[in-house]
Amino acid sequence: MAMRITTKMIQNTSIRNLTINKQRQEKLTQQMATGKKITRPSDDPVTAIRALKLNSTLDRIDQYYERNAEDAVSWLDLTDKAIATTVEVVGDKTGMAYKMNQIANTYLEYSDKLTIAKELVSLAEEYYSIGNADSAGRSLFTGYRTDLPLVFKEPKTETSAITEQRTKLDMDKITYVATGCLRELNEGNFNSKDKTDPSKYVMNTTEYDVTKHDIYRFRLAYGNTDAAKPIQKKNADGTPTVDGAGNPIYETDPKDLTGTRVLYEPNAKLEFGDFSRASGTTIYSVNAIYDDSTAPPTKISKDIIPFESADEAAYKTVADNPDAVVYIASTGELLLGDKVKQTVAELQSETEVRLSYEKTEWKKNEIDPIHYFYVERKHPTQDRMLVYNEKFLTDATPSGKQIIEYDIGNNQTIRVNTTADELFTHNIGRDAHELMDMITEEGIMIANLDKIEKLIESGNYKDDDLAQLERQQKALAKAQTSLTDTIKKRSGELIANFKGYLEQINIASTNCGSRGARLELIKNRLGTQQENYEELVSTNEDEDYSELTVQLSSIKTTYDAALSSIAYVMQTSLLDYIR
Amino acid sequence: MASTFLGLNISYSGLVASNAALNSTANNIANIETKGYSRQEVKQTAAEAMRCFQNYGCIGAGVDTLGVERVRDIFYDEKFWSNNSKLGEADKKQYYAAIIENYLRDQRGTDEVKGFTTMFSEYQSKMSSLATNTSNDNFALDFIGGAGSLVEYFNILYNNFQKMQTDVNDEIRININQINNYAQQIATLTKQINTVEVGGAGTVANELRDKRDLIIDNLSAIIDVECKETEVFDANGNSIGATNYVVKISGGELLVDGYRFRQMECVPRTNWQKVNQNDAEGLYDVYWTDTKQELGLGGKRTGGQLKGLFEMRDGNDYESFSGKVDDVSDGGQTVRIRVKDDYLKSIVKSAIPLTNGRIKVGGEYFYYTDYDFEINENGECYYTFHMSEDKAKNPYYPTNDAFGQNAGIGDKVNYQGIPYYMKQMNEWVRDYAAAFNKIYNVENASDYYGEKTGQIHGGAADNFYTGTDERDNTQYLLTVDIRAASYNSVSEMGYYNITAGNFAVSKQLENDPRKLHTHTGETEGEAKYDIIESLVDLSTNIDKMKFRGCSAESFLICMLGDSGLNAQNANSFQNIYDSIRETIENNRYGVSGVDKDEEAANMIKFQNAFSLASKMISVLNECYDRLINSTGV
Repeated sequence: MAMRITTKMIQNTSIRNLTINKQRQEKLTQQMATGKKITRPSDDPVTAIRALKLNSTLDRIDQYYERNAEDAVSWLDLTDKAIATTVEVVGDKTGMAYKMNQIANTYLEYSDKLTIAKELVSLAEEYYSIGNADSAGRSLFTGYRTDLPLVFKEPKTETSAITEQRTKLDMDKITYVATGCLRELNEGNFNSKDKTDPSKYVMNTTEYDVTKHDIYRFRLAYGNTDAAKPIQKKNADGTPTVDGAGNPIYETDPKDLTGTRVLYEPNAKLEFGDFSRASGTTIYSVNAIYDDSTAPPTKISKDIIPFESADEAAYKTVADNPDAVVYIASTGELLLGDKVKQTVAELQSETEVRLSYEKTEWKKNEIDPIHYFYVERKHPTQDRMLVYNEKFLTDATPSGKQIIEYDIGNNQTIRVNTTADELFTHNIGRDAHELMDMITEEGIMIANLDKIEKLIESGNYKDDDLAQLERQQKALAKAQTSLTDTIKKRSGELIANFKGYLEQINIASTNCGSRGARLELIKNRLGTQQENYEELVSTNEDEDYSELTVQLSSIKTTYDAALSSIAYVMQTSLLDYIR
Repeated sequence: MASTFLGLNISYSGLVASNAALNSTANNIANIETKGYSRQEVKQTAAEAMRCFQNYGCIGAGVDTLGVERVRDIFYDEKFWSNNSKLGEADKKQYYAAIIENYLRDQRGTDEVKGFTTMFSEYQSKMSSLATNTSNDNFALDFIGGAGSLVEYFNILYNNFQKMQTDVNDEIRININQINNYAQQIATLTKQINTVEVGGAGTVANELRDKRDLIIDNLSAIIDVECKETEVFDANGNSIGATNYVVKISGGELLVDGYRFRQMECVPRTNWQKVNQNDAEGLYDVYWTDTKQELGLGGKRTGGQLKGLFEMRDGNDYESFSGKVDDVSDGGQTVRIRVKDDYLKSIVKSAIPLTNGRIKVGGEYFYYTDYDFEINENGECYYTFHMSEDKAKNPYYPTNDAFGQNAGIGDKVNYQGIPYYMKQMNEWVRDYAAAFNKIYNVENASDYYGEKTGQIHGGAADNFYTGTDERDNTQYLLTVDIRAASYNSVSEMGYYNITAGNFAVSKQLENDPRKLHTHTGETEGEAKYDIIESLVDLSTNIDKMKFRGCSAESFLICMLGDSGLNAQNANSFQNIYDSIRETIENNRYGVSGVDKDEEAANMIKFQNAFSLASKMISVLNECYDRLINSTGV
């Protein structure tokens, strides 16, 4: 028998069909309103999950493209500009290299030379001040230490214990002109006699005493370093101890067997050799260094003789003593005796040479050593030492280079910063000042010669005095010529140095420029990627309106049809026909 | 010859039958929209013929009206009930799955809802910007703010889930009350039905039976039912007309037996009876009032809304604490349990209450105060529980007989319900916090002040992410490593203390962003960003953090995968069972439904029959008149 179809059944089915129809309509209207294919993940988990993934990727691209790359661009632009200025200051168009060339290759009067030397010094100052270039208050060239300027903005008193790491290639040869007492000559003292031996003049430098010495040295990064001074003993009340004659009594090295070795403050050291193994190095030190494993302790260091200023005695010491090493604080030099020089020269070219010293007084525009060297400094507020670039001394290949890289893509970074060592060298300032010193020295000789000649011309002095004056005139003339020659020679060498500096700066400039170009390319690609992903996101989740409209109108038709048929079926029944 | 007045009697019986039929039709029409009503039919049969000893033999004696009976097919009822249970379960799951979907929602565009992926993306962007601007406080502040939003997202999500668990729990109680109510009604109806039907041979209590079936319809939506009606016989094996109606629920547990019915009660768990670290307070255990046995809802045979609700409330994807008793000491106060499941060996997945938990040892509940976790290098893992000394909680301790017995906390429920999601959230949060803090607290980590943080802030307190101890509003120190081989759940603080609900960013950072560790080496300079860079990488690098085989940022993708699929399943099951329900319902209507046309036809039919019978009487009346008054007079 066919199944009974009852009123309730028809009602039921009709209503259910209408509900389904309305659900579809509701969904379509929602899609129309939001423009999205799905309104909840369960509509289509795959699309929903893909949307999440695509959106995360898009967010990341946005971050790379709109923020990180922009930051990189501004950083690189500023760096580029600063480098351009550096090239100008150091360059051979109008900059330092050009001036150096003038000194070396043209004949100049002393006064012109002096003017140019002064220009060189002020250009050097300008060069270092570029080092403080910043981007919105963040130093460009100081690696991660963007809060610290590269060079001191104000003179500062702060002790830094510096260890420079060099090689034998940094050893250079200078010509020292010994001028004896010629610097101090004047009308009052030219003929003074020795108190104990009246037959001798005090100012006894003759032209034969004016000699040139080739001296090998390590020039420290800084001049005016802390002089190694003997430590004076103190009484219980804190006053310095003196002996009966009022001469100071110094602290002696407790480990020294002779009991006479004086202790110095601070220590300066020269050390070279194999640092990776114990006692693999040769050490020269102002204060003796001992191997405590033996009894009594064995002294393992050789002595450095400290000088506070660049006295002639300092240079003479190494000139006369092939085993000597001399530390001059005012000029920041370590002079090497011939034998020592020979030992250093025989090292492998990559063998490390360490120079350790302290410096307390800092001038404006001097480079802060923490950006270059292993430095120990007292913590500003706490009672402990801060160590900068700790790894420089321990790692075979220093990983301490502070490179700032920005993420600008998946596993893609771009280096934005140029570090100070690529662009700024201590040598430029040191060279300028040294040349200045030499020219000043020449100036003194010229002035003294002028004085002596005037005394001779005055005709006030006769006999012995005149003979002394003439001797001194000859000596001064020789000194002046020697110095002029030395300056010429030195400036000739410096031209080569400056070529080197300029080359380095140009490399930095090229690197920075090529990074900018690379960034530009990457930015373009990121832009395309962003568009692509935006499109993908849209295809994944956005609904096609025309299709929606078609669907909606077809649903509407179905709905209408359903409604009218239901109304037709449900309205009438047999009862309508019963009379 | 037959009785002269036989015709009158015959006509009368026709009149009675038609009258009954007409009344039934009227009743059917009146009840056309009544829920649960079954169409009624008058059962009639031709009355036994009379031998009248004439050559024509027998003569019909009219019609016997036997009774009014509902038209019903128990076969469809049973089908309907079993489907209705499945539908009820799917209904509840669909409802709550949709809510979970809403909670986890992450939508861009016009109707933006910021979910995890959007929040995390923003947070990552802030971190990335910080890497390029480490020296700028504002970026640090912004990043910490972003981390704060992320943390808050989890806090809110966790609370929403807990709130939802409470809602589900309340609904369970309402359903249990409903079942109790129905049980009583069914028993009462059975009694009434018997009162009507016993003795009155053939009498059927149609309306009462309809009512009882309707209650079973409703009951079947809440829980699976099995009904059986049997006749009652007297001592001699003769039917007495009464029937016994037995209703069993939840896979065979007796609810109603004739006039007897059973009741259930909901007992809320106190704060020392928790079975899950993440559970809301006061979840109900359901017991039979008479036997004090737990209603076996964890069982697979059950169905109905209650099953959906229980699975939603307790569903842990078949992961709960279980193991074998390995050692009983201190007179039973200390019970060591060896566990073998991998998820129990990991701190990130730890989900049992750290304190005040309820453990089932050899079928009996005991209450512990804390536990020691231990895993050795061979991967053998032990939990040592210390039972509470409170006699009110533990009147006695497990005995030595417990050795080798099963022990467990909570049930393994094979559905991804609320506890599952919370556990997933906890797992991510703990994993992420640990991985983040590990990078963040790398050796020589340094903050803006360039200070070696270990020295200044005391090491462990320096974590970036931690949790807030709600008892005293302090932050956990997290002294136990995420991979620690042992810990005590109460005396030590570790990542097991962190939940998505108490997840927090270190307070000292929110107070001072300059304490943020951005790099290693105190003298290396403020723009160094190696720590931040490594942290940025954490979100996509699966070597640093793996969440379900994916990277950290894929959290929502995994969760959305679960919830989307669960919701999709619930939707499609709901659809299937709903359409099956419609089919069965239509079949039932096909049998029991009232049809207007049919009733109209019947009306005419029975009217005609009635008229004819009446006419017959008047014809016979004329015959008698002729016979009595005019014949032979």
